[in-house]
Amino acid sequence: MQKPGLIILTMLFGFFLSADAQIKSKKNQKSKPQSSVYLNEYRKGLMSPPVKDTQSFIVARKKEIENILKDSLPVKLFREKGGEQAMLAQKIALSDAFFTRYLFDLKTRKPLWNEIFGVYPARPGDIKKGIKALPGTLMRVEMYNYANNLTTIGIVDLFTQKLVSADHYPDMQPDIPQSLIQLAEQIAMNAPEVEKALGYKPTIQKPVMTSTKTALNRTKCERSQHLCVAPTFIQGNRALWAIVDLTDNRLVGLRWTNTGEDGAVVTERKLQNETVADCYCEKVNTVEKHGWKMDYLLTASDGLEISNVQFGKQKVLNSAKLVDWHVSYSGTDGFGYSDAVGCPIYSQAAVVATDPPRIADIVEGDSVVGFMIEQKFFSELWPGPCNYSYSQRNFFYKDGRFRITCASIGRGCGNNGTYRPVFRIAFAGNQQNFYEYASDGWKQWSKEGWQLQQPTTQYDPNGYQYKIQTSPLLSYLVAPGNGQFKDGGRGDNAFVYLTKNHLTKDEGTNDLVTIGPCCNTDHQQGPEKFIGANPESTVNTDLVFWYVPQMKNDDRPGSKYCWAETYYEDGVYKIKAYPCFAGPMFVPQK
Amino acid sequence: MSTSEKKAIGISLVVFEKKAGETAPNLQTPKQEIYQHPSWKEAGYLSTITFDREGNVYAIPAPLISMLYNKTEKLNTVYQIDAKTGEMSEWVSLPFYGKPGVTNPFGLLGITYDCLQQTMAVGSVAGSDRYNERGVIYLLDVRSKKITDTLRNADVMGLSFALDEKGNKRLYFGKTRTGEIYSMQVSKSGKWIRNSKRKELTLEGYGPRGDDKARKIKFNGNQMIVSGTAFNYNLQASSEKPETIYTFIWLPKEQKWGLNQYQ
Repeated sequence: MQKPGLIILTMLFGFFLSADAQIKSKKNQKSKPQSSVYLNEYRKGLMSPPVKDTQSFIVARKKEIENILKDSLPVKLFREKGGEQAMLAQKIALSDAFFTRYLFDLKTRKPLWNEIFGVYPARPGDIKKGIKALPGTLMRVEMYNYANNLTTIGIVDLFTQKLVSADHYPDMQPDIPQSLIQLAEQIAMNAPEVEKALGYKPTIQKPVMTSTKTALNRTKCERSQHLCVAPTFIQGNRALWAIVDLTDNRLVGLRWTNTGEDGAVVTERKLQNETVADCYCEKVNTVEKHGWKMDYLLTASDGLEISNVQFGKQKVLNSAKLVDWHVSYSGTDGFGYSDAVGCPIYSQAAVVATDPPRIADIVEGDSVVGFMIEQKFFSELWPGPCNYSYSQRNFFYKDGRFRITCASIGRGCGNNGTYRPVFRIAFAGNQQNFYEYASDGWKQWSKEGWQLQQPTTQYDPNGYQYKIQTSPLLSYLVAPGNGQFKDGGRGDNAFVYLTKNHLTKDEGTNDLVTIGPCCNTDHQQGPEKFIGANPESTVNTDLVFWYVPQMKNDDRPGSKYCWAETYYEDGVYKIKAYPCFAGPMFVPQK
Repeated sequence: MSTSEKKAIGISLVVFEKKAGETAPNLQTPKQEIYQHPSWKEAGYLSTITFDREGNVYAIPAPLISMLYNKTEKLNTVYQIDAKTGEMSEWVSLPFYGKPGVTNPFGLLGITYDCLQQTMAVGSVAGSDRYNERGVIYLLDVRSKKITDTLRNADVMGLSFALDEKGNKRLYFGKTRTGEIYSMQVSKSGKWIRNSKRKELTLEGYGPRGDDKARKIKFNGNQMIVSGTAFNYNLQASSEKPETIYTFIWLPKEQKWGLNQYQ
């Protein structure tokens, strides 16, 4: 994980949709009552400190896992039913090399977390052709591998004491045992979110599994690929589904349904998508902190857009957003992608927001110096090869500085990729002027144009490359990334474009479709289209500042950048990220 | 023919290697050559393909990852590759009942052809949004290219003609907003028999994801084979689009489909 130097981000609030009184949705309010709550991302801890478990039953479960992983076979045995026969069946199965093929990581041989969920008499359909056995001697052993989300089913002959067949089923989960049902119930019943939704703590009334078998099987954690079940609380003609992740031992989210709904299944992805769409794509939210006030909206294809940004009474930005991500691979001509980021459903996004935006304090030393608003985006199979994740982070400081940034969090299709995100930043004010630093001082750009930050680029003594004058009394100095921001960024090497903001035609005020191809390595990243053959005057007018940093990925040990990979921890695989943040700092100059 | 070759926009002809001792190549053998006629790229990214009884190929456009290579105004256009010349051209442009836009970048999503009646069914979701289902299933007479009937307010992807348990011809269609598959009888004149619409089954809760939509529907005897995948009206693309094949069997006693297996 890249630690942001002295800056510690402290979560202000969880992801309760209505928890913070400072966040108010103000327009496009729908009458639809809120029926779902998505609590948190399964990738929690990726770029922030993990939360310590305190619930005794979770602590006990983790201790149990820790101990079993030390055994010669990292498998929790099924002891709930079947007595000696069931134990014998498990021992026979576990003594077979094919049945135990996935107990350990195939490369590192590290133990993976496995559990036998059930042992039953074999059903006629379990017995493959050619298998002969005495009546009643065949048993079916069902084992689940949490790390690989894989089910192994073995048929053993108690009489001959041999495994007669076994199959491994990726992405399949067997029916869970009573002990896990109880654990899921405990997690749900002790979750404050459930208490809040029901209006009481369900200590006496137990969660009602709506038809035990189907309710347990008919929820999925499609994105995390974890084992999930849904203890369901019936209240009148409504049912509260509490999706519980039994791989991470936590509540994923809640959703009310009508009990009469035919075939309505609540899953992790649905819950995430609907929550994000309801609360952040279809509503403009407002945040007001540390002297700053702004609206924010998750767009269909331009990432998280902040708008009407003001500091005190001073309007600062009309809007800032992330229009595109261009990813090109140097090994193959013309190979790469143009990814739009945005809403998870009904959008043009190729990499989507699965979690709500996060607002957190920026702490330096022991002082809060500002706040950050962050949005992350994911491909479904990330961090697998050729899948992508991105982050947008906007920082606002109490002293009026702000920084617009983004990062690739890998992993992409190779180790020779260059990421070129396209920011569109529109300052407030229609008497703007723009300057670059030259050896003899600040030099004004009189016409639209573009420029590349290079090793020969000149900066003023404080590291500023540009100056945007937004009114006669206020300018913002622009410091591009040169590795000075302590967020792991290694320098932006950015293309900057300055275009006139036409108030009578849309040049990106609304959602932009993909504006550039994947693989141009020069300035043709899209914004140049708004400059045209006859650059317009940029003196005393509305301007748009486009910023396209370039980040080259790296997978070498010790210098991983724009990269992500899985690693082993406590019997399962987790994700480690090496984000490459880039983006300029804007500093007010009065 | 393939519309999903990495690094190839449009449609490609994939030649597979024939291994020694085998009479014919198969999909599991390595690819020997990928051929593209220059005209096969002109429509941008394409999705589903169908063939008529003359050997002509029909394909529909669908943006992939970005809108860079697909023109919005062509998203309701069916393209044909002429069986004789191999050239691809616009075959028919179907009317839009709603325009693709930033909250739904798609037009046509499904196409199928009935050899016996030479009827083509094409499904478009153009103009639909989160709260309004504005999709259309068009029935076309392939000989005249005329639209013989439409079914409005239906967003669909997987399409297939088949005879039902009573021998009636039906178009089976997989909804893109839910995992449901419906069907409706089609007359010999290529028109809907309106009161015959019925729900066949749902993929809800099945498979590794639980929220699959029917991308392809095929029939084999009393089996309905459904390719299910995630679909959320966005351009999300992962390296491998996870797809699950569900096999349902018609249960004559219960008069319904039962899930046999998925893989």
